[in-house]
Amino acid sequence: MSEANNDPVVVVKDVCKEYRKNDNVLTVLHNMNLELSAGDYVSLMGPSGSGKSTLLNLIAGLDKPTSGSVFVCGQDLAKTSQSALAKWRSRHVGFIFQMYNLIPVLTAYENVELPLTLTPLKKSQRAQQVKTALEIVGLGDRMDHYPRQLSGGQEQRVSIARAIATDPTLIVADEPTGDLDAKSGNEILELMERLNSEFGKTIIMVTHDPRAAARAKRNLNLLDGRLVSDSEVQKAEHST
Amino acid sequence: MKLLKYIWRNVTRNKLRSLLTIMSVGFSLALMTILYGFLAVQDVTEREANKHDRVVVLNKMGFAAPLPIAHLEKIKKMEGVVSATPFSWYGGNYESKRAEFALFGVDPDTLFDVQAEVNIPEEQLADFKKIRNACVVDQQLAESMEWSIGDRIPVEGTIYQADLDLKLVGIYKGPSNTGSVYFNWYYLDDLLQASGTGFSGNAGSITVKCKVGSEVALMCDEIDAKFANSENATRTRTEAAFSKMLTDMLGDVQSFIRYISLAVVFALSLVTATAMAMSMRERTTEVAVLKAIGFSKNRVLSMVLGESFLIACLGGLLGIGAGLGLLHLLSSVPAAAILFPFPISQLIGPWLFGLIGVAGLIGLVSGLVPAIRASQLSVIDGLRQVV
Amino acid sequence: MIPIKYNIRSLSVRWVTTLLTIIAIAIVVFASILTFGMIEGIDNAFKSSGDADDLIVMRNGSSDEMSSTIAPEVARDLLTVEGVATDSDGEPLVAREFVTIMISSRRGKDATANVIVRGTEKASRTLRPAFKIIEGRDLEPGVNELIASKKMAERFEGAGLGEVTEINNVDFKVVGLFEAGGSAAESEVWADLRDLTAAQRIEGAVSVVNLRVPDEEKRLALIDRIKGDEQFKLDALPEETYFGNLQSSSSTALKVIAYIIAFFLTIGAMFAASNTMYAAVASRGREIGTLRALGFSRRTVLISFVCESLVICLLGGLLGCLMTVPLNGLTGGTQGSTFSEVTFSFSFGPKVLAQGMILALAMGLIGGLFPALRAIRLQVVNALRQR
Repeated sequence: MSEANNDPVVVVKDVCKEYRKNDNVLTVLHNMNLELSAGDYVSLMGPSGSGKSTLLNLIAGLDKPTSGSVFVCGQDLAKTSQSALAKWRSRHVGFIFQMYNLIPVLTAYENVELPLTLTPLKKSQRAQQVKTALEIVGLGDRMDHYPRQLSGGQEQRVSIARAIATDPTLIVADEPTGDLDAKSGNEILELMERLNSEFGKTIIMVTHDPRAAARAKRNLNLLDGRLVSDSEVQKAEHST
Repeated sequence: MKLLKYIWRNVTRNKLRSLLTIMSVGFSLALMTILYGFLAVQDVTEREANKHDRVVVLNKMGFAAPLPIAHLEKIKKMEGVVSATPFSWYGGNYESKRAEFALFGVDPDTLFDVQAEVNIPEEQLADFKKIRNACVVDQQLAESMEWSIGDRIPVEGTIYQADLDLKLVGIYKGPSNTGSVYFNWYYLDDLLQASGTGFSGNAGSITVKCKVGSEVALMCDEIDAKFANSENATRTRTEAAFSKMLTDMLGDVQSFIRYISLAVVFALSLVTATAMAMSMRERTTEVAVLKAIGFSKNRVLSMVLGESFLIACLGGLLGIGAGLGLLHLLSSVPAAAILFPFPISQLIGPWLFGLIGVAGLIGLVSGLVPAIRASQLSVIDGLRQVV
Repeated sequence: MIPIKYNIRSLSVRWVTTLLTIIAIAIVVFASILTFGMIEGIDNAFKSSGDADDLIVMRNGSSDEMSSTIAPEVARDLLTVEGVATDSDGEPLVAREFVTIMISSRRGKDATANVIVRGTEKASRTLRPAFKIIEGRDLEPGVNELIASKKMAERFEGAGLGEVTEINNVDFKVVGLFEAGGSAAESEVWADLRDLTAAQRIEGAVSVVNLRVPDEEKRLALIDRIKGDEQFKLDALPEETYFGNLQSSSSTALKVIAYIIAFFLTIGAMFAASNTMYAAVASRGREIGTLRALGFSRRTVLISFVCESLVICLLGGLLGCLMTVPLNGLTGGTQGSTFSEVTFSFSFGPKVLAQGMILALAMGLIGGLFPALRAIRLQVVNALRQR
């Protein structure tokens, strides 16, 4: 990766997030401060309503903070317009969802190609990148299958291929193993580890599963909108 | 992969729904094609009528008032007039009921000079000029009535107290189906004079062929000026104005057709909009994912609009095709042939593109609300719906 | 039975889709009713007195008054036939009438139409249903005055009260406006018989004779006598028969068009209703499964869904009927078989509204049936597993 310097990829600074429902103000994030450097693999844990999804959305540029600022890859997201954010996301962020969220009418190949259609790449270049991405996730032979013809684990792998097709700096994953059986979940986690170690992707992953969190490099714990712990994971016993 | 491919996949995603919407648009556009085809006939008639430098002379009072045959000779002698023939409507009964074809008393010597675009074989024309009770008929009429040369066509007068015993001597062919039988005006007049009922000498109307390229509107004024102070003042119109007058008689039916069409378009927009709204509601999460990936508002907007546009256009093209087919069928039914004197190919004109445009517009208008809602969708809300 | 309340609730949950569908169906029903109302109005315009005692005498072979002529001396003989009713002053109810057409300009439009001008006698008025001068006064014979129907006065230049119309270079002044119970006379302008024939320079000409013979035996005897007279060459027929013939020949084409319009629109709307119901079934798979698991039979579920579709369509139908209310009394004009203007009032009577509701019913039944069939084909277990 080109970002060899030590500038953090993500800087969350004094961020508050409030939701207004009728007359009640619900504060989801309290004065949050966080930095992620290039090549980080962070898991985000916490009970429902702790604010982890909100934090993820803010970092992914899907939502804006009530106060404070979020810098990702040097871009001040709070001060960026919606349409510019959309363009920014297509370049810098890859998404992995719990429900895979593939487009049912498109083949695996076309699903992966979808974010690339937003770039000025030529058709042949796109084809190259799609193939590379699908081979990385091990689905080079399933390119013409529709989502309904794939298993849950395979669908999630297509979804990962879609997330990395544009070679984004940051990958955000919202409970990527939440809907999978243990075996498929494990495969997905291994894949994500490879993305981090082999390809140097910065990953931030929301999860409920302590085993999934254990595969990350760094664990963040949220409770009631506050960061309660931030720890490095010891990986001595981990095998490839 | 182009956006278009994705749009097309979306169209075919819920095949039943798209098919129903397409059929709904199709049926309505077929109806509009038939209605507007009917109006287009009038336009083509007027356009055709403009080509031949002809004017039509009537009594100022209209069809019912007599136009003396003496006017004919006077008009023929006028400057700029090539030829002229009486055109006298003979409302007749054939085989004891109102004839399904039109009968006109004409001057055999000049008819085919006035109607130069109509063709008849030389020797048949010679017979028409020679034989007093001869008549000539349109080729298409002869076919549908199964008449052939030498047949007798007896008709019973309803306006005139004179029955005609016509002999078919010629078959003519022109650019349009006139559905008419032409007989010798002087044959009828002889019979009327003999009966003494006092209706003789009435030319009905006179069709005048002017010099090619002449100012036919001025010619109308000249003719009217000539007879202004006579007992039977005239009102002369260009052939186009004359056929417009016949069209105008349809009165409010024309505007009625337009109002109905307007209502149809409105109803269709609602129908298509409902279908689109249903589709988009089912795809909320998908739209949210697209937006998360980085699809811009405009891209989402154009995707949804493209989908409804495509559906409406498909329905439109199908309907217009079916409508033209039905018009073709209709024009081959003898009773309706009078309404559609031209082959359907001649009717093809800008109005068809107008109808395709209407279909496209229905698509765009109906897609607008669902498209805007999709493009405004908040990614977070959209994604939350599913989990 | 699943209570209908359940369906109404379901509809109100998806109220936007439901409302759009209802409005679309309303417009389709509205357009159909409008078309039927026009046909009904035209039919009314051809109705005469409906008085079975009235006879119309015209030339044998003529199918309308315009093309009929009766020799003056024959017409005079008819004034004194036996059995003719008398009015309150003791004068016989016989009227000789002369009918001609005149080209008039439509008010506010660059268009012309043929208007019937009728030369009348005093008894002509009593022989029309509900004839009434509603503005100005009746005409005086001998001084070239006209009375016009109110509808014609509104639609044509020169027919308004106080306006002057030129007939064959003779000025006629309109001194009164009349109504005649919506009958054919309301498409006419009336002059005095002698004034009109004098202006046309065919003094004494008579087109038809109208007379009232209340006694059935005498009436039939008179018909036989007139028909049997070789010399006369006349035909006598009850007015009802005459107008019946006229109506059937001229409004058939319009009726065909009307039914085509209604047919296409109804089919189109059926697809729309079907679409909405398919979506309803698709989004309620689990509900259907639950109902079936609770023990409701397939037939009950089928009926329930068809009812839901019926509710949508009948509501649309009612709305469509309501939309025609402001249009009651709207008048229009078209041409009759004699190329003359026929004015009519759109008529939205119970029959026409019922026709519209029948269409709505058909849309609901057929449009709802197939989605309902799909609903009951769902396997209970599969349906329950649906998201």
